[in-house]
Amino acid sequence: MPVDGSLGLILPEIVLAAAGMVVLAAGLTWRQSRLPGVLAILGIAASAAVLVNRVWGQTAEIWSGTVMVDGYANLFKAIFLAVAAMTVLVSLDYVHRNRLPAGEFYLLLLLATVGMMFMTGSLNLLTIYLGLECLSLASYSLSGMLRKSPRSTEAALKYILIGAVSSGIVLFGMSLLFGVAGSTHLRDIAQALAHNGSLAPVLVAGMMFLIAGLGVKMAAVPFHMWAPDVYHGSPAPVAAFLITASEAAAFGAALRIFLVGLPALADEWRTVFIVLAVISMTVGNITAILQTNMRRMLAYSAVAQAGYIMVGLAVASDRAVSAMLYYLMGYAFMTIGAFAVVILLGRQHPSEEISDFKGLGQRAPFFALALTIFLLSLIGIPPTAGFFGKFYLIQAAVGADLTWLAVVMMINSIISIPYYWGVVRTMYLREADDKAPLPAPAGLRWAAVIGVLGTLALGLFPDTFVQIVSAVQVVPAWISMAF
Amino acid sequence: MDVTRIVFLALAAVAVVSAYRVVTAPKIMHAALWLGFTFFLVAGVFLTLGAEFLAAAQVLVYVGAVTTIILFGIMLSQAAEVRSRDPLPSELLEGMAFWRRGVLPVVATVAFVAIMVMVYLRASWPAPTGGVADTVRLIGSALFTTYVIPFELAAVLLLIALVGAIVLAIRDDDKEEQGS
Repeated sequence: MPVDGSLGLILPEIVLAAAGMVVLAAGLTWRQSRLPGVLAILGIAASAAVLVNRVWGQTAEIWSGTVMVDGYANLFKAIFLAVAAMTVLVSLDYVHRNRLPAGEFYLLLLLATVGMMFMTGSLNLLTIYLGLECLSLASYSLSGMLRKSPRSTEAALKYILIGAVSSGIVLFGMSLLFGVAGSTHLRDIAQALAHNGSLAPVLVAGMMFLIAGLGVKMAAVPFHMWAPDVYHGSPAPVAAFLITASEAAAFGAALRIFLVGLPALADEWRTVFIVLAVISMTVGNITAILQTNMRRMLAYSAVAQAGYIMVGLAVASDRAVSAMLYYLMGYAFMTIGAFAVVILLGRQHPSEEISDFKGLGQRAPFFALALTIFLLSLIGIPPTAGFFGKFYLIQAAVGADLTWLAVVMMINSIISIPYYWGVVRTMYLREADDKAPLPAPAGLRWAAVIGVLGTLALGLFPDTFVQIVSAVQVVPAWISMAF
Repeated sequence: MDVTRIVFLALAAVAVVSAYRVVTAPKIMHAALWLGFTFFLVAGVFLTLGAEFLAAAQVLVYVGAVTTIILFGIMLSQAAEVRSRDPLPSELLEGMAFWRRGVLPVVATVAFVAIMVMVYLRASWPAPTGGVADTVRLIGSALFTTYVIPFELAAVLLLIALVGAIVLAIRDDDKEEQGS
């Protein structure tokens, strides 16, 4: 054991991984029962309890600098656990109905979450990369789990091919950084860069590879080609998980890598992220208008949302980082909530076309109302999380003399109104062919309730949450002192 | 130019050519064999860099295990499913395919190599550290002390890969599910 307490500080990850094993074993014995799902929820709850009681508020770099525990990492761990719990809730009925192998499904979900926790919980490129790979490999197999659906198989195949290439690109970028710094630790890379300006071309090359590789996970244009097919073809709960958690993890790791490891190249990577943000928003929103399928629409809307969030990365001030974290929290609640409604509808209309939503206002009033709130939040209308998220991002952009970027963001929000609002109109103003109420499983109901509560709480008490996120430091204090 | 350097350059050049053959070989079996050969050459590159342990692991794991598994995979799947592409229906499409498959990759590769060579030449690399003896012991102790968490994480990764592969590949024995 290196230092006392090192084990205690990664206990949330250990508990989660152990819960995964229990779930797998339970899935072997009770193949067609909901027990594995319930056990997964309990495991997530146990991990969250350990996180809150034992780890919250602590700051330490442990295990020879391969794991970093601080407010930033803990906040992301909390977000990931919340997303994982909501994903399990929306999966309970889905897994059972589609006869997915429950033990394996929840195991992969939990281990993907462990991977994400290490992605944001480290300043060492090695750990970050391994976390990313855990997330990626679990995502590939999760997205192909509907083996009778050609769409799902296509999604898994496309994702694994593009994902494998992007992993290679990330690794190549990391190897360049390692080559000049002689260390995989971000602090050493930052120091090598600060002391020797002639290294810059290599580091710029490494930086570009990292942006491209992580851009694939963020689904930013032009690295988004896999996203519509994967979000459309994979099992709906998996799509919800990937669209929120995987994207958040990529942003979380990117913030750490670029702000801690490459601050000297800030001008270069900020320019790249500004360009990516503008084209992601614009391409995502304009393509989303053309979609008739709900899940494809949400996929392109996710590309656009990634563009909004990337504005925070492009500005990269303290304020922008807080805005990003706030937005990521809100985005998780509203997107998984929206997917809960899509999954509910998918029980009767497997095609999930937007026209299938007609009359949902009568058939499932609560879910229609919930979806309305989520879509309003995705547009950015007060008093929802989406409004304040965009507001803080715009404020940060203006504060950094990027007013034009803020204007582009506002124009894009306006472009997005028709396609989000179209769904609301279909739900309330068009009559359904079949007016029978939609039966709702408890898991979906709970997920929608949590989504609504989260979206509204973030929107109604923004100050409380802004205080939480602005207390978080991306660059640990002891690193900024080292220069 | 000393001998090690000449050997390194020769190995690297042949490795590039053989990697190129992996993607251009018309028969998948040939591609797999070229891949095994590439792995072998990379092991040689490791040897010239003084990383004996990595070279041995490369031969054991990549040449020994990975290539063999790939060959098994090819032999166990129906050979008819795996063949090179048919000619495209129209001349226009053939022409486009020529640009996309023939010209564009070459242009992209040349541009990439040019940029990377420029980048490598302009950087001042840290001075090479002298060779280390006893790399096995060093790697072993680093793996189980400094890098124990990444090591454990790699174990988790392996489990994910195992479970994921089984989930995607297993045949349903469930009687209720027809036609799988």
